[in-house]
Amino acid sequence: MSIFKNASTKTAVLGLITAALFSFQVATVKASASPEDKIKTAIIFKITKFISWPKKTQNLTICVLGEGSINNELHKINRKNTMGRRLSVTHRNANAPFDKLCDALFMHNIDNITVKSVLKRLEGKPVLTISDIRSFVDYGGMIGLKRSGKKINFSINNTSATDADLSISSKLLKLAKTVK
Amino acid sequence: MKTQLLPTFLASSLLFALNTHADYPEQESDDDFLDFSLEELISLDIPDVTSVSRKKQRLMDSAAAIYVITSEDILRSGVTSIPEALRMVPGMQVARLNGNTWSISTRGFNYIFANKLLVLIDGRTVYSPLFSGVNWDVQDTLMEDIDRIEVIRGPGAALWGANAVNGVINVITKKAADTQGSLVSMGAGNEEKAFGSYRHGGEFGETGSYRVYFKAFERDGLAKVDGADANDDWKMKRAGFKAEWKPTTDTDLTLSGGLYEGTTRPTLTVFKKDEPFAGDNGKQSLENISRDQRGGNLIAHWKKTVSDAEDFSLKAVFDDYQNFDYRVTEKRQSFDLELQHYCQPFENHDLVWGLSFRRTWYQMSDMRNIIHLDKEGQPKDTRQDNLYSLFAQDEITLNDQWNLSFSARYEHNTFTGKEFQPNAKLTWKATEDRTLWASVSKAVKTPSVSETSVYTDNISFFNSDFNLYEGEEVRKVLSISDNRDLKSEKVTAFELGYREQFGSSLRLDVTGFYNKYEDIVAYVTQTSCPDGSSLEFGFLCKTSRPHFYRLPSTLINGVDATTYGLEAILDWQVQDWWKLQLTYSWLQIDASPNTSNPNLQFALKGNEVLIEDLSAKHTANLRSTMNLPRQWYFDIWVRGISNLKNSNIPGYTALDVRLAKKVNENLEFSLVAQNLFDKQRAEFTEIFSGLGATEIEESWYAQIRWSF
Repeated sequence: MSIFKNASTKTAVLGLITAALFSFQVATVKASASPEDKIKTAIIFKITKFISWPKKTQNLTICVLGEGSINNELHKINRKNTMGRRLSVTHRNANAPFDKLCDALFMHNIDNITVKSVLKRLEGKPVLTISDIRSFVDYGGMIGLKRSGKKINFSINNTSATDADLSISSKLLKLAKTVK
Repeated sequence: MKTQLLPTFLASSLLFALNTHADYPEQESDDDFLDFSLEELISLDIPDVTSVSRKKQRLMDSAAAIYVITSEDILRSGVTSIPEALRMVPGMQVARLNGNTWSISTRGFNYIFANKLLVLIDGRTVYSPLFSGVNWDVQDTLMEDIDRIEVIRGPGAALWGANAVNGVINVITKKAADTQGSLVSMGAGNEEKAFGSYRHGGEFGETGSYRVYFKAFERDGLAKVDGADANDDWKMKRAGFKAEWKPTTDTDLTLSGGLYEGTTRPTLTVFKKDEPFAGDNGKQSLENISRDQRGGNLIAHWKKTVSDAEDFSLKAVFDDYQNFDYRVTEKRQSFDLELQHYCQPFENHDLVWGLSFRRTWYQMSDMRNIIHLDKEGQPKDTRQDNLYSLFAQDEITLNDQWNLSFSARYEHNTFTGKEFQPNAKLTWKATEDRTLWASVSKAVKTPSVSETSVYTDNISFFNSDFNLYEGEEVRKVLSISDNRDLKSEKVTAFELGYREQFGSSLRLDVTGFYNKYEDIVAYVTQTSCPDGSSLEFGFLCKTSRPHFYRLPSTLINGVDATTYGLEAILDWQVQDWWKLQLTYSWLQIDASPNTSNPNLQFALKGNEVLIEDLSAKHTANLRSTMNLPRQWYFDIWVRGISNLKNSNIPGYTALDVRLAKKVNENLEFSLVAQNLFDKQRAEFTEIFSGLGATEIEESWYAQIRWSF
C-alpha cells in the first residue's frame, strides 16, 4: 500500500473500504415519499368519495400491488373515513384473489403482462382499478393517473366501471382529462 | 450523478423557491394534501425535488450555502444565457469581459480563468482543465428546459472532486416526461438580434418519454470604449435530445446528448512576430477573427432501485470539444465512468459511496502563442490525462434535531498524484422554522495543463509605452513558462449558517465563511532566460528582433490567503401577488507571500495585490416579481456591485425589467429590457489572455413563447 502518502490517508481509505463493505448488509429504514407520491395518494383517497359500489359495507379495502415509496404514503390513509366507510389499505401480491379481498386496487411499478392479466381476472367484478402506468385505461383499467408536466391528472374508462357495476359520479367525470 | 448528493428539499420549498404560482400553503404535516379538494389536487404543481431527495431534507435544513435558481426565476428574469442567470446568486460575481467571455466566481479570485468553481450540466462537468475555467459561450441549452440551477458556495462538496474549491454550479434540466408536447420560443432585439428554440416531447413504449430540441441565436457585438461596434458577434446552433425509460420495473435508464457549433469573434490583442512594428509598438488588435467552436456529448445513466433504502447507479459521459482559436486549436475528448451505491448500513445512517474514472485526450495544433510541452520539456501536440477517485458520504441522523455528516474524496490525478479532501457538517434544527449549520472542509485545486505544461508567449504586454533602458527604446512582452512541479492549491474552509422562517411571508438565510488558502499559484519573474542566455537590464531576455524583449516569468505556489465574508438572502412575500428577494454579500481578502526569498518578494507582492484586488467587496440584488391582474406579469431586477480594483472598473448598478402577458396557458408575449439606462459599461478587464475587453450595452428584446 505504498501509494498512500501517509498513515492517516491510509487509515481513511481503509475506513472507506470497510464502510463500503459493511454497506452491503441493508437495514430496513422507512424512506420518505416524494411530493408526487403524496399528491397521487391524496387523489386516490379523494376519488373513492365519488364512486358508489353495489354493496356498501362498513370497510372500504384498497389493495396495493407493486413496490415503491408511494406504499408508505398509502398506508397513511389507512383507517381514514370516506363517505362513512373506513379505509383499510393492504399490500398484496399478484396472485391474490383481489375480487374477494378488495373494493379498490391500486397497481404501480409492475410489468404490463401482470397488469393485463389482473385486469382480465377482474373484468366485470366490482373492484375499482387504479394505476399510474401508461395506457392503463386503454387496457380496460378504470382510473389512470398520469403526470403531465408538473401536474397530475387522471383519465377514466367509464365503460369498464359500468360493466363492473360501479357508478362514477358525474362530477368526477367532469374533472377527468379524458373519459372513455 | 453527483447531483444525488446535493442537499435537497421537499415539498415545503415554497419558502425558498420564489415560485410565482404558489398554489398551496406550506405543509405542516404529511396529511396536508388530503385536505385539498380534488380540483386543487389536479391543478397544483408538484413541488420541485432534486433527483434524489432521499431524506426529508428541506433546503431550509441543508448544511451548505446552497441557492437554487428555479425555472421560474430563469423565465421571469428574462436572462438569455446561463452565465447571466448566475448573477442572481448571492456572492456570485459575474463579469462580462466581452461579447462572449465571462469571469464567474464566488468568494474571491474573480478571473476569466476562474478555476475554483466546478460547473456541471446534468452531471457532465464542463470545466476545462486545459486553460482552467469554463468556456461559458458554449454552455447552453433551452432556457425553458432548465429545471433549476443549484449553486453551492464553498467547498462543502468534497464529493464533487477537485476544483470544487469555492463552489459547485449544477445545471439540471427537466425530465423528458415533464416537457411533453411542442414549444416554440423566439424573439428579437437590438443586442439579441434573433433567437429561436423548438422543442418537441413525446412518449414511446410503455414507460418511455423523450424530447428533442433545436436552438439557434445570433447576438450582436458589444461596444468599444469609444462607442464603436466591437464586432465581437456571437452565433450558435445546437440540437439535442433526452430520453428516459424503465427497461424493468426497478431500473431507470436515461440517455441524453447534444451537438453544437458556433462562432464568436473576440477582439484579440497580440504581438505579431512577422509585423513587429505594426500597430501600437508591435501590439495589434485583431478583429473579425472568427473563433469557431463545436462539440457534442452523450450521457447514459442507469439506475437500479433495490429498495427505498438502497440503489445503484452507473453513469457514462462522453464529451467532445473543438476550439479553433487564433492562438491555438484545441481538441479535447473526455470519457467519464462513475459508479455509485446508496444504502443504509445501520439505523440512521445514509451512506453514499462511489468510484469514478475519467480519461481526457487533448490535441493541439496551430499554436501561434501557446506551446504545449511534454514531461521532458519538448513540444508535443497531444496529451492524455487520467483521474481516479473514490468518494463516500455518511449522513447520520442523531435525533430529530441534530444531523451530522462526514464525506471524503480520495483521488489520484496526473498532475499532483494523490489528493484527499474531507468534510464534516453539523445541522441543528432548533425549531421547525429555525436551522443552524456548521461545516469544515479541506479542498484542493489541482494545477491545470496550462500551468504545468504550456509555454505562452507574445500575448501579454506589460505596458505599451516604451521604456528607456540605457538609452535604448524597449518594448516588453510577457512570456510565461510552465512549472511541472506545481503543487495543488489547498483550502481549509469554515462555514456557519443560519436560516429562519418568520411567519408565512418572510425568510432569512445568512452564511458566514472563513477560508484559509495555501500555495496559491502566482506569477514570478525568472532569474534566467528560457533559452539559457543571460538577462538583459537585469530582468529581460533578448528576442530575435531589436528593441523587443521578453519578460520571462513562471508560476510558483507562492501566495497564501485568507478570505472571509457574509452572504445573506431575504425573501419577502409582500402580498399573494408580489414577492421580493434581496441578497447581499460582503467579501474580504488578505493575501501574503509564503516565502521570504528576497528574489521573489517583489513579484509576489504584485500577486498579493492582484489577488486582493480581483474581486468586488460588495454585491447586492433586489428582485421583484409581480403577478398583476389579467395575466400580466411585471418583474424588476436591480443589481449592484462595488468597484473591481484590479480591472479598474468602478462600482455600478444595473436594472433589468420584464413585462409579460399570458394570452392563455399556452401563449405568452414578453418584452425585456436589460441594463436599462446604461449606454455602455465595462465590467471586466485583464491582460493575460490577449482578449480585448468590450463594453456591455443596453439591450431590448421581445419574445413569444407558444406551446402546443
